[in-house]
Order: sequence, then C-alpha cells, then structure tokens
Amino acid sequence: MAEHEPHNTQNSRGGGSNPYQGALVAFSLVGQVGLMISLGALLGVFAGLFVDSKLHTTPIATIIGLLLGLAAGIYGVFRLISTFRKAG
Amino acid sequence: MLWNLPGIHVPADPLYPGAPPFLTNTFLLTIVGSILIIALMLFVGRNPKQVPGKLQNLVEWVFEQFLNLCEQVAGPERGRKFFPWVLTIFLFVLFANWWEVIPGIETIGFKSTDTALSPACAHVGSQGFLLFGQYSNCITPFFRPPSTDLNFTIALSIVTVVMTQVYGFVVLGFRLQIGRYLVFNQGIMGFIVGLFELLLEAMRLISLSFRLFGNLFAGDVLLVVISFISIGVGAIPFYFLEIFVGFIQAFVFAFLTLLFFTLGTTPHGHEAHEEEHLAETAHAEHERVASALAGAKLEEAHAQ
Repeated sequence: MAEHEPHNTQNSRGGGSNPYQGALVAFSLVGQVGLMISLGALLGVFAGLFVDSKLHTTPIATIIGLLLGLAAGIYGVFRLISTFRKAG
Repeated sequence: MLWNLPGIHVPADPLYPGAPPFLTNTFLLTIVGSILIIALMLFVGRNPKQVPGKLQNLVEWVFEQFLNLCEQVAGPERGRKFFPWVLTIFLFVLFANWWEVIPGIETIGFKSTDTALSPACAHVGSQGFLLFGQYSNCITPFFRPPSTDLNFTIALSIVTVVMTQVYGFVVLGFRLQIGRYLVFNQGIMGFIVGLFELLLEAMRLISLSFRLFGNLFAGDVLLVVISFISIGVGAIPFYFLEIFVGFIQAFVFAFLTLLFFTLGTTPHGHEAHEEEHLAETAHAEHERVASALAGAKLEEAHAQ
C-alpha cells in the first residue's frame, strides 16, 4: 500500500468540488429549466401563429405548435438533467 | 430639480456623432476588456513563481476550479478540451459585466443635443463641463457595459452554439452529428425528436443571450434609477448586488456553455443504449463472478 495516499481521489490537484460551486451549478440549472419550458412554448406558439396566418387554419396550428413547443421544452430539460446526473 | 433621470434606451450609442454602426460605446469596452484579460494573463503567465504571489494564486485558483468543473461534467478527456473555451467565456463575460460598477461609466460623455432626452438639450452647447438641472441628462456616454447591449450577448451565444456544432462534428463525426437532427430510421417519434433537437439549438441561443442581457440591463437601469432618487448614496448596496449578479451571470453563461458542449458531444439514442447495455452486462458478469466465488468459499468451509 502506498505510504501517502491522496486525500481527494476526484482529482490529482486536490481541488475537488466545493459547496459554493455546487450551489452555482444548481442555480444555473434551475434558471435554464424554467427558461427552456417557457421558451419552447413561446417558440411553438409563434411558429403556429405563422403557419396559421399563411394557411388560414386558425387556431389549429397554434395549438399544435404550443403542444409541440411544450414537449420540446420538456425534452430539452430531460436531456439537460440526464446529462448532468450522469456527470455527477 | 437638481438633475433629470438619465435617458434609458436599449440600443448602444455611437462612439461619436457620425461613427460607423459597429463603433459603439459598448464595443469600445468590449475591446478594452479583451485587452485587459490578455494583459493580465500575459503578466501572470510570463514569470510564474514556485511560491505564487497573490495575483498568481488567484488566477491559478480560478483555473483549477474551472478545470475541475469541466472534468467533472464532461469527463477528463473532453473536459480538458472544453476548458480553455469555457474559462475564456467566463473571464470575458465577467469583465464585461463588472464594468457597470465602475464610477464614470455611463456618466461621462459628450454633450447630446437629442431633445428626446430633455427639451433643454437643444441648448446644451452653452453649458460648461459639468451638467446640472434640466441639462444633466444631455449626455451620450463614452463607455457602456458590453453586457447591456443585446448585440454582444447574441454574438457570444451564436459563437457558443456554432462551437457546439463544431465540437459535435469533431467528436462524433459527420454521420452521428447529422443523424442527431435528421432521424428517418426510428419512425415518426424519431423524426419528431430530431426536430426537437433542432428547436433546442434555437432555444439555447435565445436563453443564453436574453438571460445575460436581461440581468445586466436590468441591473444597469436599477443603478441609474436608485442613484437618481437617492442622490447616489442609496445605490451603494446595489453596487455590491451588481458585483454579485455580474459574477453569477458570468458563471451561469460559462457553465451552460460547458453543458451544451457536453450535450453536443454525447451520443444519444442507439449509442447511449449500447453504452447502457455494456454497463448492464458488465454489472451482471461482476455479480455472477461474485456469487460463484462466494459459493466456492462456502464449499471450502464445508469441506474443512
């Protein structure tokens, strides 16, 4: 057995992750989660409104756009969190 | 009235009357900030000491923290690849954010005759060096924090999203990277998920740029308004708040950049399932060997 084992096996520099960094990371993620869901819905609605104005199908494309946008937002959040969980 | 509320407007002002469109007061501080970062790094890196001084210690600590973060999120190999980019973005945005707490930024400039600011501005030319009363806001500032300009934040976000694609093509290869968006072999759900991925890129661009711009522009307006209503003294606590917000937003931008790079270079779908399958197989094999060993030990004990 080695005489001097490193205290922190996470990295050889001995820095490790500090609690402040964890809080900052959590803060970033929380903000991004909220933005992704709302932006998905917004983009979907705008795309739907554009399609509706061109095809005169109000409000079908808007509703479909809203639902798809929400789904895209939730999918984005899922990918974001799942990657982070794998990393953490 | 001692002074008027300074003019609050979203677009950046030209550096001087008749300046080309790109030459704005935010552009000037972007260049100054870049030069400062380069000078700081050259100064610290030119003659590093075995026992570091205060400045070298601080820079090394920041480097270490970000390298650890990159390696934890993206893994050792990819983390080291992303690290220079992520740290550069952090320092660049941090410098861009912290300009707003320096006195003189947005309060020193040339006299503006724009009557939209105040009707008295038409006659500001007759005033002296310091402007008071109805002339007090007839100023076009020389300097304005870069992060309060939407052009700066959108440009930075476009660079990030483009670099995500570049890293994707480099790490995953052309076929996998294109296959992320154009999925034709997994039915209608696969096609929709491909569209979602495309939509996510747009969402990343908007979320990155508008978050930074919104936070910093709001902070800027807050400082201006509080200074106006409290003769400057009441704004002192808010300066500390803005130092904090500037740091947090710089970190958020850099961290999300790192996360997007990681997401953009992580194979998903078929490859991810393969990885999970391999891990499961390895785990099952490990358990099988462990139980066989335990059985053998038990038999040995019985024999004795």
